[in-house]
Amino acid sequence: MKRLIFLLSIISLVWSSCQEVITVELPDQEPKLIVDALIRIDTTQFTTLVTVQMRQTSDFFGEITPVSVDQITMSNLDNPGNNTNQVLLETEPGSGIYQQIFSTQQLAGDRWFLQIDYQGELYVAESRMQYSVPIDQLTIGDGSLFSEESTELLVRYTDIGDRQDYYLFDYGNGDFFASEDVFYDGQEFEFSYFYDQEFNTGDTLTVSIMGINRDFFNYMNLLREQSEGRGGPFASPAVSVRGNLINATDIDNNNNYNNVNNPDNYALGYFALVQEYRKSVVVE
Amino acid sequence: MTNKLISVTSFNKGGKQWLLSGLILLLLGIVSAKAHSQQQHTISGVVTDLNSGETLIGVNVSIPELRAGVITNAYGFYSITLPQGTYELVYSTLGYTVQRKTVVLNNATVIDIALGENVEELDEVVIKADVEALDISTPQMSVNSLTAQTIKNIPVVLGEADVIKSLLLLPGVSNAGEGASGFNVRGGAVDQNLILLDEATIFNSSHLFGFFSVFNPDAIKDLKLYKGSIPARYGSRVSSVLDIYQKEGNSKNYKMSGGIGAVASRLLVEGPIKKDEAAFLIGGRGSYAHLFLPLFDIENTAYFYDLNTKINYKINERNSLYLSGYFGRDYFGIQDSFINSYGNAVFNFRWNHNFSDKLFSNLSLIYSNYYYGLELDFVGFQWDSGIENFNLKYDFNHYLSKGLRLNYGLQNTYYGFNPGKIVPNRPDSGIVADQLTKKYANEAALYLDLEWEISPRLRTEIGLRGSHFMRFGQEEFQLYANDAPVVFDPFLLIYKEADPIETKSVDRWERLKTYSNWEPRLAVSYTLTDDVSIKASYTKLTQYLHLLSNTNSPTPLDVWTPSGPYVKPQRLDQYAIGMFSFLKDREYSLEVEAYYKDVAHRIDYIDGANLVANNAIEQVILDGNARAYGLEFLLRKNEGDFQGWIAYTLSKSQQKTAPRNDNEIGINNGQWYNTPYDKPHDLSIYGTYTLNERWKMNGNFIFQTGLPTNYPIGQFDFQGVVVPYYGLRNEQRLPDYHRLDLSATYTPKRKSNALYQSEWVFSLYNVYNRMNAASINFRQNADTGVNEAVRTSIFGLVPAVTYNFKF
Repeated sequence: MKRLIFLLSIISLVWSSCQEVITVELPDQEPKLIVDALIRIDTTQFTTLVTVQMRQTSDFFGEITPVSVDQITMSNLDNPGNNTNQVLLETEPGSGIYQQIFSTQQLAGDRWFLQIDYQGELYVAESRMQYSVPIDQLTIGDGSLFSEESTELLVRYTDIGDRQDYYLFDYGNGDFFASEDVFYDGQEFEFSYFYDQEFNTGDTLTVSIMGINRDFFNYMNLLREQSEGRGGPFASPAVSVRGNLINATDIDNNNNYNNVNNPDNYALGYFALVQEYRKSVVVE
Repeated sequence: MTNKLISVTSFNKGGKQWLLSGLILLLLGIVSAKAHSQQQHTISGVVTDLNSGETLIGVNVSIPELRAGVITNAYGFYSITLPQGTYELVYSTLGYTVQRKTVVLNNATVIDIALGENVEELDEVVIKADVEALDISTPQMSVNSLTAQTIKNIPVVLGEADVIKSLLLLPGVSNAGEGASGFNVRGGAVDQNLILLDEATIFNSSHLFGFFSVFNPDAIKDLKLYKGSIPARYGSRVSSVLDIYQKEGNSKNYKMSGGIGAVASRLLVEGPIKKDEAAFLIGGRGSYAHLFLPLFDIENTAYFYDLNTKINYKINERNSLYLSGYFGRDYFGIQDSFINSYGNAVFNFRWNHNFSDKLFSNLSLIYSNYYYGLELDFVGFQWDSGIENFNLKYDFNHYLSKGLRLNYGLQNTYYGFNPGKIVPNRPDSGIVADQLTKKYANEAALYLDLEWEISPRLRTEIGLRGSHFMRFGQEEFQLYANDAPVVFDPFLLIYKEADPIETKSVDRWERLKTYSNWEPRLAVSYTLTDDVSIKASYTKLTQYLHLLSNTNSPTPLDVWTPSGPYVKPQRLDQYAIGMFSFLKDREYSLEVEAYYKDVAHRIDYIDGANLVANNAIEQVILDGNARAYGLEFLLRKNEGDFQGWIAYTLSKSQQKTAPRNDNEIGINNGQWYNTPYDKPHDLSIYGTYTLNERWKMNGNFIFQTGLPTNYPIGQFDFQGVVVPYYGLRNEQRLPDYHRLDLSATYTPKRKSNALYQSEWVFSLYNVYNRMNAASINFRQNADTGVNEAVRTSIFGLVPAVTYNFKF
């Protein structure tokens, strides 16, 4: 566990005894583009439907809304040409959901470039698929951590030795957990996750495991940490969780090589290609 | 400079003659310049408590007709050399009756004095004089002391008398809110405080994350907090020194004292091993086992305990030995899945030796360690981390002549750092045992401090400390391109961990990096009238150790890291001026001080830095600066039925991490930002009123500007996770903090001749039940999916009762 995040959350719980929802006036800000481009790839399939969602930020108490952008393309950096530069199409006007079908083989093997034109700004990002490992076993346990009304789910998988691996677990409902193999390199490893609720007999719990790189691992850890809104003196400092989308509008590699003079004009979100395995278990 | 310091280090391993003679030679110049033709004689001695035989620290020994004086050192010793003649010596200190003694001085004289309430038995004439007469003329400024009695009087949460909570009521001292660990002095960080318990470093001063401090008030004899103008004998931390001495043990009678409180119970036993020669003290404090039980609907255990022990043996007039120890632990567990334990342990051996009636020495051998352990059963591991040090100190107080004293000495500390070790906690765990790279370092220092009364009105203290730090080799040492472990992404504008280009193993005794620094100190006082003085000081300090912590206040699992090839030592310059005066026939004292300080190389963390179990911490640290300035007022009433103080501080504390070159933006766009503990206004009022023999009333009122915080400038979502995002750091503030605490102490009537004494302390914390914000958090409500701002408050109104006894 690179992050003993559990621990910090537990300690902060001590301070949660006296909480009250209050009204706060917040500073105003221009909306920013959000790019939700986590491309989960099932390598057993011949083709992959790539879905990218475009939204814009809002005031914290406002509503995040979909936006249509001028154009989204994904291009293959390793094998340019060959019909691999593809435009993603909006499923419904105004939905902000863009899709296109790609060859899984090419998605899995090559470096890909995402390019978004929006209101005169150009946002770009690059990714290469990270491999994952399958889940060996999924078990519902009887342990509990903070409250009796929780469900323990044990995930077992076997890490590949002698290389650094980072994993992202998706437990559904926006519950993610990122893990790295530093302390279990090459081992069969099992750890518990605790849902904050109890499930009914017959409910199906599905977990996916994705292979990610270190940057995305850091991103997801931070995302999780910042979304929890924990209190107390041991809360980590508030930071803007910046993804991998570069505002390339002004970068001409001639007069301007960086964004140092344009620090506030950025897009949020992430573009990542990941291999995904899923497994389900039925509550008995 | 480096060569000189290294020779000192090697001297440390060899003989001590070299340095001693070197220093003495150096001094002779000054001494001979001051020599008078008149016959000089020395008065020396030890000041003790009449009833317990405890030596008394910081007692003023003054000779009013010469406007001269001296203060007893940490072991109660004093020495002053005067021309032949007849003098009246006045012994005074806070909490004791003043004594006068007339001396006909025609040869070297030893005067051991016992101070107490019970003065009738003595021949000395008792006078009632103010207790801080000498303080306004000494060059020492920016220092506060509290007596154990004051600490016990101050109303605190749950009635558990607490050293650090009491310090927070003084000007220039604050913390990051209720339940936050440690304390901040003059806008400095928690890890910039040097906390010494019987000269041993305490690395974590908090129990239960920060609700209580690790010092058992019953075992404390003396406490001083240096906020600036730090004497040259201290170093290693740039913000403050909290110097605490434990009691030595009653060398006359067996005594037992203790208390039963809402949180913990205490018991302390002390007594003579051999009357007037050897004494022991053993004190224990333990909390009840389930302090957090009501907070969860699941089985949990949380408790702490600490143990203070001390033995002293006065071999003869010239030699005394002390052995002392402290051991404290916290334990916090939830079922068997999460077990967290941590604490400090210190052990020290000291030898006082008087080479002559003018030269006092103390040799200390100290071991200190901090341990943190965590077992997470649901992941399957046990985690341990810690720091330990071995410290050798040899300090001298040289009382040269009436107006001239020298303090000098040398110190050597060897550090071992364990950033973390992980082992599987059960056979079926997939965790592979691993040790994060252990680190080793050595810090050596020598110092010379001259207290010189240039004239009766003008006095000065000039000090110089030379410090030398060696970072030793370690198993895995990483090398980076351009020696830069942190890289900047010029497109995304974020700092990132650099990939090492090589990892090598460096031999344990090879030096990875060496630093040497001179740390001059200067303090001057000028007495304008009998009741008014002005003082000024300059302090330079170097800190080689850094606590890796980027939460609002440190957590028990934060680890210390040494300076080295990638992390530079912190360097402080502090300037302070002040005015010290007595008002209304010395019934009141008023202290006003202004300070400015600047810390170079204060570490800062890149956004999203991960500090836990990070084996290459240099990859998330940048070199920054910190600065703080402020104005402090302290109006104190020290006499009468009503006593107390009003402390007000107006201050600013900021930090900045500038870009390293034109292609970076720095942290927070390279701009100054508020530290998490910046509190521009901080007002504390404390009063105690003795109603009659039975009842004593105490109260505090506190008002502080809300702590800096961050409000989101917007929200985004990614894969269904709703996340707030922020602008620049610490630009908003929590609502202002204020509260009132009251307590009443009831002392039942004592039966005549009965030894048993007791008192009841009834306390009310946060009387008007203000829900002060400890934090405001922005999150999506898990049930409704609606975003909300949540204010967390820690303590509302908390009543408590404590029973104390002694016999």
